[in-house]
Amino acid sequence: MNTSQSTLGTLIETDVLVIGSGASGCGAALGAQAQGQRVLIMDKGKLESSGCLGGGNDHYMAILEEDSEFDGADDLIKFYAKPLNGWTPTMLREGWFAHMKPLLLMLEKAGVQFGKDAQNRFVRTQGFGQPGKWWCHIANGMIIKRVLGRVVREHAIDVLDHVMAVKILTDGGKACGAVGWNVLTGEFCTIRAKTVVSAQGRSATRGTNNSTHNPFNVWMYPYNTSAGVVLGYEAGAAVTELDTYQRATMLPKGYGCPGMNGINSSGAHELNAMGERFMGKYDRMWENGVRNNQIQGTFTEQMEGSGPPFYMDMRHVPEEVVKELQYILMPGDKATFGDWAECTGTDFQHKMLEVEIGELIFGGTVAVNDHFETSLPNLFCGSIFLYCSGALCGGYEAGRQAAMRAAGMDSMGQIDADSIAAARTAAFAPLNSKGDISWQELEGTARNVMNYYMGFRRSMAGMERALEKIRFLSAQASRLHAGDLRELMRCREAQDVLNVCELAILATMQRKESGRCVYRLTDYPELNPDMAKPLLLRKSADGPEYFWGKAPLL
Amino acid sequence: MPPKYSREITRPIVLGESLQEQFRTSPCEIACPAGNPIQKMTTLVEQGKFAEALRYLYAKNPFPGMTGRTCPHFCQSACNRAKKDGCVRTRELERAAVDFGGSIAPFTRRQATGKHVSIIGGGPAGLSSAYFLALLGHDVTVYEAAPLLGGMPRHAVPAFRLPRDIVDREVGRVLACGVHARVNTAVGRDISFAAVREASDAVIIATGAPLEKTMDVAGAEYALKGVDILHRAAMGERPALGKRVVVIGGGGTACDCASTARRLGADEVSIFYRREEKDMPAPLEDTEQARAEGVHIHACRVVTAVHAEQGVVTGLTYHDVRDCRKDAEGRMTCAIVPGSEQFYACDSVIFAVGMETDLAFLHNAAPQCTRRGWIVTDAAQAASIEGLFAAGDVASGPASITQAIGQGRRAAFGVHAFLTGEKARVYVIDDDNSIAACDEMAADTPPHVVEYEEIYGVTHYADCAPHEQAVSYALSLEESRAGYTREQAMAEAARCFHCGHCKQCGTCVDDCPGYVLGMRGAAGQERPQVIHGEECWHCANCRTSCPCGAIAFTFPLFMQV
Ligand SMILES: Cc1cc2nc3c(=O)[nH]c(=O)nc-3n(C[C@H](O)[C@H](O)[C@H](O)COP(=O)(O)OP(=O)(O)OC[C@H]3O[C@@H](n4cnc5c(N)ncnc54)[C@H](O)[C@@H]3O)c2cc1C
Ligand SMILES: Cc1cc2nc3c(=O)[nH]c(=O)nc-3n(C[C@H](O)[C@H](O)[C@H](O)COP(=O)(O)OP(=O)(O)OC[C@H]3O[C@@H](n4cnc5c(N)ncnc54)[C@H](O)[C@@H]3O)c2cc1C
Ligand code: SF4
Ligand code: SF4
Ligand code: SF4
Repeated sequence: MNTSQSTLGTLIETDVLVIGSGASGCGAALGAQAQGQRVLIMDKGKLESSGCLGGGNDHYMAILEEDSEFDGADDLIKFYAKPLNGWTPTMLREGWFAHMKPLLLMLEKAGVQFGKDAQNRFVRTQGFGQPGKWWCHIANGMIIKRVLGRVVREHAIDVLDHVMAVKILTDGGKACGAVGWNVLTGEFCTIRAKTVVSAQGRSATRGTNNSTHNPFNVWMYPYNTSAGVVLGYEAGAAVTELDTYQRATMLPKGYGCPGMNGINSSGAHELNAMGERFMGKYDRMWENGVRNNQIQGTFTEQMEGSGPPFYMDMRHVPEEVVKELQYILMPGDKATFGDWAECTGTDFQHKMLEVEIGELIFGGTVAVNDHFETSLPNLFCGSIFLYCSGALCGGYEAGRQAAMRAAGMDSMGQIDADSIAAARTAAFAPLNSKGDISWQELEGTARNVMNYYMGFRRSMAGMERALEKIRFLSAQASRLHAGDLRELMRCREAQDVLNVCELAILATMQRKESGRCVYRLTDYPELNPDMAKPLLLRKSADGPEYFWGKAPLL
Repeated sequence: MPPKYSREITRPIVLGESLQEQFRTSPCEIACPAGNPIQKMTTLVEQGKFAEALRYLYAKNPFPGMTGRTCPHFCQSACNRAKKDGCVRTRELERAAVDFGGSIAPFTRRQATGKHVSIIGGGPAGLSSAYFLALLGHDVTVYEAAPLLGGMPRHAVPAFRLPRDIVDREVGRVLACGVHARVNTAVGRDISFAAVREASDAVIIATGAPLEKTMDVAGAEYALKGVDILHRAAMGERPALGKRVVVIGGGGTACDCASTARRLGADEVSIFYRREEKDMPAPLEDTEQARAEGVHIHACRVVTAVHAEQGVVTGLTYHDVRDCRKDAEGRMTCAIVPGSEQFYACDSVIFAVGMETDLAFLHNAAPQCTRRGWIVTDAAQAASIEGLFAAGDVASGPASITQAIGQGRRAAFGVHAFLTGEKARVYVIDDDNSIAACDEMAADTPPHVVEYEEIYGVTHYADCAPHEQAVSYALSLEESRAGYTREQAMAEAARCFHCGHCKQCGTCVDDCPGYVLGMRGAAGQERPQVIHGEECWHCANCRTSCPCGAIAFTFPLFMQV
């Protein structure tokens, strides 16, 4: 990278800019670097700890062509190439399957400890209603991000930690960089690049609360407030899955963490207040079925007064399974699980684990074509597929594609000083303002709105009210005041939350059906077969344009 | 809200094993019987602050010059860094603190309490008790049978391992605290135990294990006794041992005897030990040194007779043995290999086969003892008779100087509590340089001992082999181990992981994705603090980044219901 100073701050030039250093960003940086391009990866956090993966990871999904059935690229495609998500066979084959094994081996070589059997084969188990055994177990999951971070640093990749991107730059309708500022020092940076990869994740928390009413005590990375969707949308790229990627999980009561897959697939029984095992009513695979069904099922029981409390009962599960789960896998997935369990006397083998329905995540991503390029030329997106493996592999492919594009380009786009100056003024506005509201007040109120109207049961009228109120709140954003840089960062995140909430409401109002996501729409209680497609939103002068299916844009 | 930091101490601790602020600690500190503040020491030595390191050591241990040379280093044997590239040489660092610390003003004695304490035995245990009791304001008299204070370190440990000016200087520091000593005064011979008790408000027995065991073999009366030989050598005699010498035993005393015999002119010195070499209780360095000096070590051999003509030893008979094991009573039994009998010609045979207590001076006033004759005590070193305490080898069996110091210190506080009713769980050196009670620093539960696997941030440390001090095998009577240079000491101290104690490096602050933490405090002393706990994801990146394993977690009430 080349660095220089100007009146607008620091100017950095590189070939491929990767925004976000989570799993998908690391994948993208490695994929681009392997093509011989200069790569800069930026994150508002620090490479070693940023993103969901920084919280831990206990399973890596890998199809390895080792088992006699359900272990090939076609099985992946059959399971995941659904009209709804817009993932094509090419994307899945080239962008996920092709990188699964090499990246698994890379992680292993770098120090991630995967379970192995006597023949030195990866031990894998089944989950998520998938047909094959696709999940490798990880013993030291709490340090996986550090391991991956080290790999990235060892690869001649420039790393820009602590810098929050606030705008993707374009030139003539093509991406050519981004601007951001260092959340510790306030340094303002402009990064010029031939191509840009958005790897900012798909999951955005802080839109709703769980029972603890602490928006940071949650399942997914709470410092990601969907800037990926927001920045992509603002730059003119079509965004998608806002209506369908609304997710929740069951949580150990009071403790925001992942791990319910492990608990479900251990053979745990979910019990309601009457001690009845009820999931059979909602999914033929009972607790080990589709996550949305577990949430809907539990929610229905709760509405009917059959709970709370709800429990996961593992007392009947074989000791070695429960032991691995409580003492290796759960702490690997969230490294404070053991401390929390000790503090609360949690004991899977001997006591029932009380659980609750966790917060609802409003996520989504930037829509891409088979080459992981978005509808904004030269902007690629790596946060497409699910899970660690999906993020890492999809990211890798997006980086690879972005680098191949960059390799064929003679020069990078021009940057526009006026729009950079405007972005800079906007970015620091709350710091200088005489504003009278805090980010907590604004963001907390947005959560109140979403909790109230955008829960697991919704109506069109309720969503209209929600939209009105979220727009009202967005209009108050000019009153935000930040006392320091940290608050400034949170102010920006609060605005992201408002933006993604608005897009989520708008998209959900378009999807006039129920059953494709975790919520039910009272006005449209049935599935609409015509809506088995992704919905794309693109910014226009008067609100979003809607596109059903990827075809017209991608 | 998480995390919670286990901190390094900020003032010298004199007593207190469980501290609120230090709820995690290292295996080395737990292993040190004297309770040395090892990590505080490595921190200060790394910074070149030898004098301050020494001051912290003196708060727990009046004899760091002795233990820094002769301790079998329980700390190093437990060191987590051994799992990476070799343990931190903490014992050498302790010595370096003394070597380069200069002279430190003694701690200030507390106001006189008017209580009188008698201590029987002027070895490390007795003198340690005396030191702390004097600092606590009591009037202390030490009764010592020998003409000189110091116990075994004075009378038996060879000078090439422990130069006597070190002993003089450290014993002198104890006396400088106002301790009275009556040397050449054996209790039971020169003054009765009853008279001593009568004259005191409390008595500590610290008479060590002065009796040497012998062996039940023909001709045993012709054998020399190891500690006796060492004692004579230490007092400047040069006992004639001849050219071929056999030492029987496998402990540190046996090695000392063998190395001393070489220095006294013996050409061919052998150690006969009944178990396998790996079972020898002697510290590895001592056997290595003996071997480097030409001593032969023969394992799995027992002596079955000592032969002499006209009172002069001519040799011994030995057998090979196998399957040595301890029986239920703790006695060693070995199977003699049939037909393995051999004669071995030599000029002297030295028994170095163990020590026993001598409690005859107590007559019928003895407190409860174990079957093997050690005085039974509680955690405060109180014996079964009120007002009577015991510390060191007499209470624990032959152990170590460090153990004697730790027990001596505990006995002092046991006596202090008994005499004054002040029973704080923690005592510190206060700003006025004297000992102060500080119960509010105490924790109810002992600290968690951090294992290597719990130090996720261990990747921060580049490989670095331990620094080795220069060692001479020149059979000289001068000290054979040179100790570290200043620079070596500082570099070695930098190898310490600081297991369980925050070293204020700021990595966790840097690595927290939620910007929850901050470095706060006076310039140059910033330490990590939870600033925005309500925004913590409890992802434990702080913990997994920490190169010390210093972080634990607490959870707010809303996460517990
Ligand atoms: C605790 C936990 C355990 C999990 N366990 C498993 C498991 O066992 N197996 C599995 O397969 N999956 C697991 N997952 C899911 C998996 O970790 C994620 O799917 C994956 O890591 C997502 O990576 P990502 O790069 O897409 O997004 P993220 O991890 O969210 O990364 C996005 C990054 O972009 C940065 N960013 C966003 N906006 C900006 C901006 N404006 N400027 C700068 N930077 C920005 C964020 O700071 C963040 O670092 C787990 C998730 C969590 C939270
Ligand atoms: C040869 C040898 C080498 C050793 N090397 C080491 C080593 O390298 N490292 C190590 O840690 N430990 C070593 N030890 C062990 C260590 O010396 C003892 O564990 C330690 O000295 C015990 O201290 P103490 O105060 O309990 O007893 P001692 O040091 O034995 O002191 C007891 C004192 O009490 C006096 N005394 C006894 N009876 C009476 C009485 N009735 N009236 C008055 N005074 C009395 C004695 O004269 C003596 O001075 C060694 C021991 C020996 C024998
Ligand atoms: S690394 Fe340091 S703190 Fe840890 S056990 Fe070794 S000497 Fe003690
Ligand atoms: S690193 Fe994670 S657990 Fe530690 S303070 Fe930060 S958010 Fe909390
Ligand atoms: S990372 Fe450094 S500052 Fe933080 S707890 Fe560990 S030693 Fe202390």
